[in-house]
Amino acid sequence: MLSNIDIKDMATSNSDLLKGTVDLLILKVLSTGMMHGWDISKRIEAVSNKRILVKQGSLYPALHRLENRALIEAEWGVSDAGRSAKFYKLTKTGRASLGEETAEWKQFVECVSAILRLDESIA
Amino acid sequence: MSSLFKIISLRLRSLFKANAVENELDAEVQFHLDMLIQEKIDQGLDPFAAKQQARIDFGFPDQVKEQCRDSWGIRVLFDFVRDVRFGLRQLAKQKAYTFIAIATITLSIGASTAVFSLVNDILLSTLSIPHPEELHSIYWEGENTRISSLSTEYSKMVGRRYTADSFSHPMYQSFREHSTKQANIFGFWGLNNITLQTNGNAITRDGQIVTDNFFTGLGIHAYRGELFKEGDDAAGNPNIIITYNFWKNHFNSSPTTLGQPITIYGTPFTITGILPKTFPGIRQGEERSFYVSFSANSPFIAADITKGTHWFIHLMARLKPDTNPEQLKLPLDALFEEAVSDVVDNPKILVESSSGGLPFDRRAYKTPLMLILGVVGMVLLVACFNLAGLSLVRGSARQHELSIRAALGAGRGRLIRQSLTESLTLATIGGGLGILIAIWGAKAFSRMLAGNSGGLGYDFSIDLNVLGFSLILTLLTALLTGLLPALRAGKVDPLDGLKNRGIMSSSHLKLGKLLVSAQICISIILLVGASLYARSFINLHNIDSGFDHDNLFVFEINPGSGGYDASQRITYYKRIQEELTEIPGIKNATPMMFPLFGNSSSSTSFNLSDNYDRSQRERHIHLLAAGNTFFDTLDISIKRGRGFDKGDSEASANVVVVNETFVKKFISDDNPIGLIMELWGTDWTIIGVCQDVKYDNLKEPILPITYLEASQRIKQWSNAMLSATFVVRSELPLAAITTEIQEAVERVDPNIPVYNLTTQTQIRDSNIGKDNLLATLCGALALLALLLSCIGLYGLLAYEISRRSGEIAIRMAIGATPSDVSRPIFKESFMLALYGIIVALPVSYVISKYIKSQLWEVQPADTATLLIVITSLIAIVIIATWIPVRRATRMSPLNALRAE
Repeated sequence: MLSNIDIKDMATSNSDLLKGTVDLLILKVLSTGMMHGWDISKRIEAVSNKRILVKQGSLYPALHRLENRALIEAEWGVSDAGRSAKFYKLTKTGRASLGEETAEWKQFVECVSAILRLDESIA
Repeated sequence: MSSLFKIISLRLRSLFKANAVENELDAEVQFHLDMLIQEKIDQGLDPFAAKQQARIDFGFPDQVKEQCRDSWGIRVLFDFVRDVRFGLRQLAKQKAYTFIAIATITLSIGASTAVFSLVNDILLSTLSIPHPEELHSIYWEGENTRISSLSTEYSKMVGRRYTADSFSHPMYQSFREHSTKQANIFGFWGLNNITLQTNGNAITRDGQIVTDNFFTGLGIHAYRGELFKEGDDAAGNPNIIITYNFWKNHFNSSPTTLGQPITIYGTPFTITGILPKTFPGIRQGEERSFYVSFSANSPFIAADITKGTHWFIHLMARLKPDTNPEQLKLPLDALFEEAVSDVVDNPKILVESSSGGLPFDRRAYKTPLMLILGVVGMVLLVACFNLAGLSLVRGSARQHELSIRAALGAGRGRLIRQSLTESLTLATIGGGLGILIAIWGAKAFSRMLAGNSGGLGYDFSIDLNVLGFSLILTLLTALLTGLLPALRAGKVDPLDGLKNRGIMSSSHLKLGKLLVSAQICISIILLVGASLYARSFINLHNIDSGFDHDNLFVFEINPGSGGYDASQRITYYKRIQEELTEIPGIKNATPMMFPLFGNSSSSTSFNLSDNYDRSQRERHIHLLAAGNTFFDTLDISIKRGRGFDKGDSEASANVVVVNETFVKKFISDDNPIGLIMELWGTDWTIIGVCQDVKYDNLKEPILPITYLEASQRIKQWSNAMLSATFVVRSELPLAAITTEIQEAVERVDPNIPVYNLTTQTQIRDSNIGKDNLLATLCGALALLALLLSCIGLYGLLAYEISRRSGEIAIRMAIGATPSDVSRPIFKESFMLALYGIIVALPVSYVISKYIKSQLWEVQPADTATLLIVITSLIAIVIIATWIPVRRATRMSPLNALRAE
């Protein structure tokens, strides 16, 4: 059963898979609109039913990484609470990349699932 | 495209607007933290507890920031900039260290760059012509040469093999005709000190006679006008071509220069072409201002050039593509052997690559330059050892700092990078200054060469090759000096920071000791080399030339270019001689064919009437035509018979004087007086034997020489002594005698100028100019290395000893005498020196054997030299030990312990 995945720990374990996963999640969330770091983490938390927590230690490096790859871009705006915050939004390349990576992820999950089902079929 | 642009602009922004970017990062992280606190408050926590809880949840904000910075992709660069700044601050703090380090790098990089600029210009540069690699010069070698008239620019005798660079005109023609498949062969011949009359003034310049295919063979096109082309060797070609520099300096780059007349030897010429700036001449470092064609009745060439008895043309070949020198040698060898079988034994043609022009200097300077480059390399190595030692010492002083940084989480790689960046910063500053010094040094070398080797006019400059070389050197220096301390920095144990500062790992000490021994070793090798050069230098200056060359003044005049014929020249030289001896303070004056030790020579073969040892196939002698006051003026004593006197003139019977070596070599019963010598088909009576004196080159052994009386020689061959050297003996200073001489020459004919006025001593000094240059350079470099070594040795030893000052103080406090404590330290220093010496001795022996060919009468295994070098190095080590030991033994125990 899937308990709370703390992406923070796994993302720093140098696993490209998980780093890529965080990136994918961020891109997906940002595809619904512009938001700042806090909202992104809250949105992922909410959508996953609090089962995936992207902590600041992996969230911000990921945001900066994506920004540096020009997949997202940032601008300073005013938050709901009336404070100045850094808002991120998807760029054109980011949107394209989201499409590709989503497809790749789905394929990957199918493959892994198929392999995992191997057990059942033998049994 | 736009995303790439975004990426680049972001990275540049984080690099150059680091502050703004940092502030944004702070704000972003702070915003998140605040939101977290707000969330906790909303969940019902009081503000203080909320803050605390949020902090715990968030973790180290700095860590998050650091990870963000990592993802900027400019991390390495960013750290580098910070490291450089940090390094500069550290360096500014340690002024003495920084000064010594930068001075060391500056001097060593400066010296290497300057020397490399020499190597680059003399050994590596090529002529700026298309495909310079196809250019080859042609020489010959053989034994027992019996050529009646041979004038060379390069000749050498090794054992019995004689090498020379000139050919006769018929040989040139047959070579060219029979090798058209392999190459294009062209010829040329230098004209020295020719007086040119242009626009009413007379100037003296060097020129070149060239064959019609000279410029096409080289692949040079005119800058203005036209150059010679095939077929231009027609008789009486009145065209003259001048160099860009001559045009610029003498004709002020005037556009109307083409078509202007120049008169030489009374013959009118017309300027028809100007060479491009990129072609200064066929010989490196030498510019000949004008070029005339090889037309048969040109005033420069004797009428009988086609006969083949005169060997004077130098040959070069441009090989056809895909042809190798051997393929050209084959037909030439056959032609040459057939042509010269009766005047040269075992003849052979040599073809040498000449992509940089005539390779005289390349040949002469190759070994010396490679040696100097080696010396410079060793200097650089000493400098690196020095710097490594210094930074080792400094590194241990900073070990505390490093271990604290390690304890705070700096990774091994990060510490190594920081250390390397620091040495790179040092090396860059030093390297930059070094290049500046090298620019100055290269100019000094140019002056030295120009003044020393008889007008070798290199203009050494720092080009891209040289810059690249010094850049690589600088990086290597940084790496060599920075790597050791860097690796040590990487090994630092965070715990060390908490321990006593005085404790040092033993590997550290070993490294320091190794450096001391290595420095001593290299210093000995360099000093041995330098002292061999110094001894060779002294020997060269003490070479006995055979006569008193002080108070002799030498100048040249060229009545031939004033249109004087043979009998006019005889009278003219006599008049000049008379005018000169009228001057109060001038005792004697004589004309000569050329000055002694001036690298000019003339040689021929001869026959003797009888008493001649016919088994001697070698009948090669050197000649010197000189006035009838020659022996008195130069103070050369007559051993037998008589010298020339007033009675010997063009009207009397032909006479010659031979030297002692001639008698030893060719005369069986020691008495040649009265023998008849046959030269060029004319009989000459030997009237005397004079003492041996050096001839063209001080370093050559004495040659068999025959002295001819000048006017008889001119009468016999009308082209002899078109110009002459005059030698004057006087006790007056050069400045005083200069105007007197010029006025005297002007009184005879105001149209004939005096040139190359100098002293015999100066000519002598330039004769050994190459050796002077080498000895000076080697000596200077060895001294530099010694200075660096002293600094390094002192630094390392002083450090090692000061580290033990606590121990020394305690031992002194409990009753040890100064000699008790210092004895083992001295012993240790002495042992370190001994290790260095043991390694250095065989190495320096091998090296000195290798450089023996460059030395003058110095034996490689020179015990005295070795002893002096070793003693002085041991003395340096003892002083470098004594000063810190004395300081340590005088320190009060309390102070010493406090310092720990």
